[in-house]
Amino acid sequence: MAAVVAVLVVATVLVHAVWLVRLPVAGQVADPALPLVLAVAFRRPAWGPVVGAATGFLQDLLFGGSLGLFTLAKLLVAQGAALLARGVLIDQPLLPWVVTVAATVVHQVTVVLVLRVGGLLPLGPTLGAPLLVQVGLNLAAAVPAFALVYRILRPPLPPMRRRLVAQTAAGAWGREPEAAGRTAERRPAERAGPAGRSGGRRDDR
Amino acid sequence: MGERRRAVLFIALLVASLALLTGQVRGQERRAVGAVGRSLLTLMAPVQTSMARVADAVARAWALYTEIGRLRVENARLREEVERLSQEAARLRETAAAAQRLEALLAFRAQTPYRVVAARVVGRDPARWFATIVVDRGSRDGVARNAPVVSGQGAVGRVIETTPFTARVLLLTDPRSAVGVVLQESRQVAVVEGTGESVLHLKYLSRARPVRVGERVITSGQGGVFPKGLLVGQVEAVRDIPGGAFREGRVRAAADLSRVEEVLILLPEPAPSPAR
Repeated sequence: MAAVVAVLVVATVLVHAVWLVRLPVAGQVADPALPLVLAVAFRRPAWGPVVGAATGFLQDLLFGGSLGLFTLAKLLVAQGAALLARGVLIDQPLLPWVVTVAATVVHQVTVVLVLRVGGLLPLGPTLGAPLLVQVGLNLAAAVPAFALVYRILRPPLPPMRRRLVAQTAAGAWGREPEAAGRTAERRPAERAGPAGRSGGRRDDR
Repeated sequence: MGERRRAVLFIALLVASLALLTGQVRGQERRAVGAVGRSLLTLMAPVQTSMARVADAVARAWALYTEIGRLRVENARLREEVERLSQEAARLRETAAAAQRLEALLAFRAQTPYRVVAARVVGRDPARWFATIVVDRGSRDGVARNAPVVSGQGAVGRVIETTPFTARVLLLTDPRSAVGVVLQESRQVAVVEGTGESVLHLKYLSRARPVRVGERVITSGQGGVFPKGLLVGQVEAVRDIPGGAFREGRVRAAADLSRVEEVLILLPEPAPSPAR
């Protein structure tokens, strides 16, 4: 699954750098990698910072700016999303939108701060109206990004539920609890169950 | 993964990203992607080029669909002709002026002839903070770092990094760009810097000689990157700096750097083989 996420990250960054750049809206370009990183961090908080930093590094390579700029910005928002995913009910329907807005602001402010320190800030406005446009574009990009990642990365079962499923599966098919647990986790009946969709506070994945 | 391991991983990534940023500030080159970065770019270049071609094809199809084809082609041809003649006129004016001055004449005679490689733009910088483009010619075509890049309208920028199949061009509008220039009529020597916007910042103008708005700005050839006489733009405004020794101004770039699609990369002619 990590390989699928890696391919998705590379494809998203390339789409951003080659296609979306041709469709600027009020001088801004949607950054679909941002909601993608947030979605991955929501589903797999342990992967969040690594995926965020790797995505930012790829963007740094492809964009031609200062290396480390987007690595730092994406790492910070991914870490924030991962912390959030461990601490709140992440299945709340509005949360991806709220977090995308907040992450866009944090990302842009981080970039502006680093550029200001480096003396590379452009003359034009950097926050304000451009930031509002960027938020709108990233919200639009969040729809496919979250849908895709949520389709690829199913929410892991809470620890107690995982143990229950493993024991049940071992009893039914006579397998080792751990291996049987993995198989059972993918069964549609188990996925559809109310416990499997639990939006409660989850342990580390 | 335990709480402690997660924290260690985050801190390690944070330090790595900060090291990347500060490493460039300390280093002589402002951007050095290294072997890993170069390999990744080389791996992604074919995909990037293919995607750019698909986008080009879609854009062309859409343009042909929405515009009256023949008139558009004719218009484009006439525009190219006007741009070429405009460039030619600027070059001839410069040559005529240079002929009256022995130093300039000698400099022109000493100028190394350039080989030209045509390249197509396959990528742009999505981030508005920097102004770079990626072209589909790389080190395999002889493109090297610091090779000057021009369009039919004037100077575009210089190559800052190459892979075997692509090269990244730092545009004149990038805040990291600075080019030595000469004002064609007043013969003032100055420096043009990028601002991140479509206008360029003209610096170090002498107060001694007047500068006319609209005056052409050409490369001085003193930076060692651009040959002398390439059109950079036109003076848009000039102002005095209170208490300053110099004046400064704004220059409108001759080439439309936000829409450039094809460019020429100037390469030095290979040295002639020694006579036997």
